[in-house]
Amino acid sequence: MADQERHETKADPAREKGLSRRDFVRSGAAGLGAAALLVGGPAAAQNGPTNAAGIEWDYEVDVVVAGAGCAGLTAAIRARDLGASVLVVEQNFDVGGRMLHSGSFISLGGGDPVQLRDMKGESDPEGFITMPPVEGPEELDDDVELLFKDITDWSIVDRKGATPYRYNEPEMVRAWAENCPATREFLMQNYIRFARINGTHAGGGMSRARGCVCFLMLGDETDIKAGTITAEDAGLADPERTSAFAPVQMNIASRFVGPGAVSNGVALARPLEFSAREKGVQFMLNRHFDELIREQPFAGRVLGIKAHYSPRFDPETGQRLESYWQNGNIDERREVVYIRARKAVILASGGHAGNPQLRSMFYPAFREPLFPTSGFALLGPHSQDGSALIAGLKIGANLAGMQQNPSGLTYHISTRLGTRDAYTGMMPGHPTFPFRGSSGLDVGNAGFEEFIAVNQVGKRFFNEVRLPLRAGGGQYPGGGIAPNRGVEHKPGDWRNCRHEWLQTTYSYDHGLEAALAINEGSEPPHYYSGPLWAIFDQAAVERAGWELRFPFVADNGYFFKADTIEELARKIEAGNEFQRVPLKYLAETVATWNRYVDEGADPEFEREADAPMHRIDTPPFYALSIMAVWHDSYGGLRCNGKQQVIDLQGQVIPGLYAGGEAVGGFNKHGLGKGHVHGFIAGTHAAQEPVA
Amino acid sequence: MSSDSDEKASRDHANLHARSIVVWDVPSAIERGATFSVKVGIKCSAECVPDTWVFGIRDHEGRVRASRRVGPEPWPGTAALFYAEAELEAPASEGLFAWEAFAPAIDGDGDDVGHGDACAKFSVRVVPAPECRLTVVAIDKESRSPVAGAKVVVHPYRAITDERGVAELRVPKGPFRLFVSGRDYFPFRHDADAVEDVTVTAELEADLGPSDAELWS
Repeated sequence: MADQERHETKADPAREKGLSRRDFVRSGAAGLGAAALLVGGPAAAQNGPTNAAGIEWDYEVDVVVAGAGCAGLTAAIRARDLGASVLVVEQNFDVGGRMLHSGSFISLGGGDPVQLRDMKGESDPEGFITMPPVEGPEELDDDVELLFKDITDWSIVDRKGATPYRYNEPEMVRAWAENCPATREFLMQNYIRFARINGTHAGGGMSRARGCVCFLMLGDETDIKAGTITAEDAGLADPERTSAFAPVQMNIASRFVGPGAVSNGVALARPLEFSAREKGVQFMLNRHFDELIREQPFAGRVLGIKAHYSPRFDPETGQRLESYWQNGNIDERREVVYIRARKAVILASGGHAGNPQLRSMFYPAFREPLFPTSGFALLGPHSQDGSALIAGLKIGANLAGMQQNPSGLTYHISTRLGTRDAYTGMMPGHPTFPFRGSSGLDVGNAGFEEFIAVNQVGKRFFNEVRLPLRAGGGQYPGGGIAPNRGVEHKPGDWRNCRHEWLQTTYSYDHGLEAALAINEGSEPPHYYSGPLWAIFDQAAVERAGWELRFPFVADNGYFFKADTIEELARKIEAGNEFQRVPLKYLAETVATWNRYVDEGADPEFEREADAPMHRIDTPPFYALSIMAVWHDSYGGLRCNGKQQVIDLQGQVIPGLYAGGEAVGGFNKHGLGKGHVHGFIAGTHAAQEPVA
Repeated sequence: MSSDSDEKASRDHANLHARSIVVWDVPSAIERGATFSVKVGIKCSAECVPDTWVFGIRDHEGRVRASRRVGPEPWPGTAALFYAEAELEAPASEGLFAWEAFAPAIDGDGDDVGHGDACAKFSVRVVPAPECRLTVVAIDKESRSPVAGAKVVVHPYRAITDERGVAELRVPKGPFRLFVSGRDYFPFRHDADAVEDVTVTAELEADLGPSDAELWS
């Protein structure tokens, strides 16, 4: 991916991924050439598997886990609890993966302990929860059978016309449902505090409420065991600053917990990490999982992994970024190491949303390297690069759920403008902030009224106010996509998808598809659609109250200001690394738009039907980037009910497990999938015989 | 085939700094024959400071309605957009008229200003005298509290709600489409006929964004 992007931007290669030249050089890429960058990348898939014979192992443990996110960390703790020695290899400099920047909303169910707690109206064991349950007992009355039925429901068609449940792998999701209660309990035993159950997120079933966020309590010190966090660590002491502890400022969770509670992925990832380190899980950070080593290329047991050094450096100081906690870290800096797994390897290194070449097999227009996956500043250039899928393919693994990938929540247009890292609102204070340069400006859906959106040649391409709207997923309490809502929902009822009903529920505008479409600036062979720009004027700034200043915007190539539209077009072309062609139509487009406003009608995109239209004529003029974000991966390695990876003959690949977004065949958004996968994989991996 | 002098003139023209004109603060609706003003700014691509730059405003019939010299200070927030305000008189008939602002390559004394010609079009909407008062009260749909600063648009009439959430427009009789949209609110739309003074309460739905359940993993 890195090589691909370097060739397909017009810019200095040192700018790729937000890296400074110093970072680029220190990473070793400049001296070692493209091949070094591509270890584990797409080109690696073209090579044969590494021959196991003759390998000199640098490390040896019972269980090797690739990836320190929700699946990997859970698997590591679980395996360690069962007596295994565990080493987690993580490409980033810190632990947590996407879990750390998430909202911590975990949808499980099947009668899990938090459902039962809320049904009884009880507080949590520490008494932090002072708010009453949000959901009624009947909405929480769940069991494994109902959960399984929900997540294999053939009849659900969402507002986008996608079918989130019918293609799920039944053996795997059955095991998932059966392990939800135990996983919730396991997480609670590892310092995770769960708020009140509040609905369910996409893919978590339509019949019952099953999801909740994790929380900590604001206090005088950050103490995971006590469940407290300081306002400074939570990123709440300063509205424009966060901390090394919390890449994204935490949310006030008073509604679902009570006064003084805060939530987001920090309340999940940090306690889990704390527990893992406390229990003796070891971490080799700054190390990218590249390859699996199997006894024979396509036969025998998986023996271990090959991994390369992938440090990150502060763009300003040149210092290597270091993890927040250090205990349990192995500081290994050799370029390549081989790590033997006596019992098993667990692949939890994420999906492929950050690999334009790989994801383009599902949607060719997303080969455009401009659009990163979520959290690229936090997670670095190797995040979500499909390493597990690629490594699995090289030793004969099968895939699953590939057709589920472009489903309801996979990608969207972000309402956060003016930053390439548009999924979250990270503020200064976290060491990876410089990789994004600005927090971006979240204008909400309503903010799209204030501008016109243009493509790389400066032409409008869609009704702007419909661009960011999302169709919503198939989740409790029904989201309007089944005739019977909430607890009345009937899984498997043919009426859920009778065409007369679906004609009333379909609600998706294909703005993202228009944004990615071939335009006059698209050139063969890839026909990249290029950047998208929100164009507006000073009057819009005053109407909307937008604060166009640091940290919301910065001189980072994703925000521009100019005296005239012509000058704005020139600045964008000169200043954005993916703006490969001039915005030659921009001035004409703005003039045409102003004429439409004066005439009161937009014959191209019918904006006048949806929202008021405003001239763009008051200087100065502005451009903010609009980003398409590919977040989820639903296609990946095929696994059985033990999270063992299955080969193309339908046989288990001995010694190999996988979880989270590395796995396909379960169209469920988010953390709940990964944690349970990790719990199952850790359980079985620890019980493998020593090879 | 061009002559040597033509080629030289062409070369000289190419060497001139390009200029752009911006026209703003044009009222969205102007009554017949009313006086109104607009702002016109001129920007040199090399960010030259003007000495004797002038602009004119030409109406839809090609008649020059005003001529002004830009001032010495750039418009606030810009680096080098030098501007002046011009007072104009609206046509006597209703309609949407295409006017233009132009900056000639010579100044008022006939001297070359060293910059090329520039021109920008803008529209002048002339409307009849209003007959009805449309009062809009913008409130939050959930809290029922007033929404100040909401945009009220009945094309081509525009207003902003005050701290009480109230805005008043004067519109002609006939069908109209009202939009009310506020910061962090989805647009409220109301189609009706104006036959007399009328008050519309716009219940604005907050744009809360996706819930945690919808957005976050």
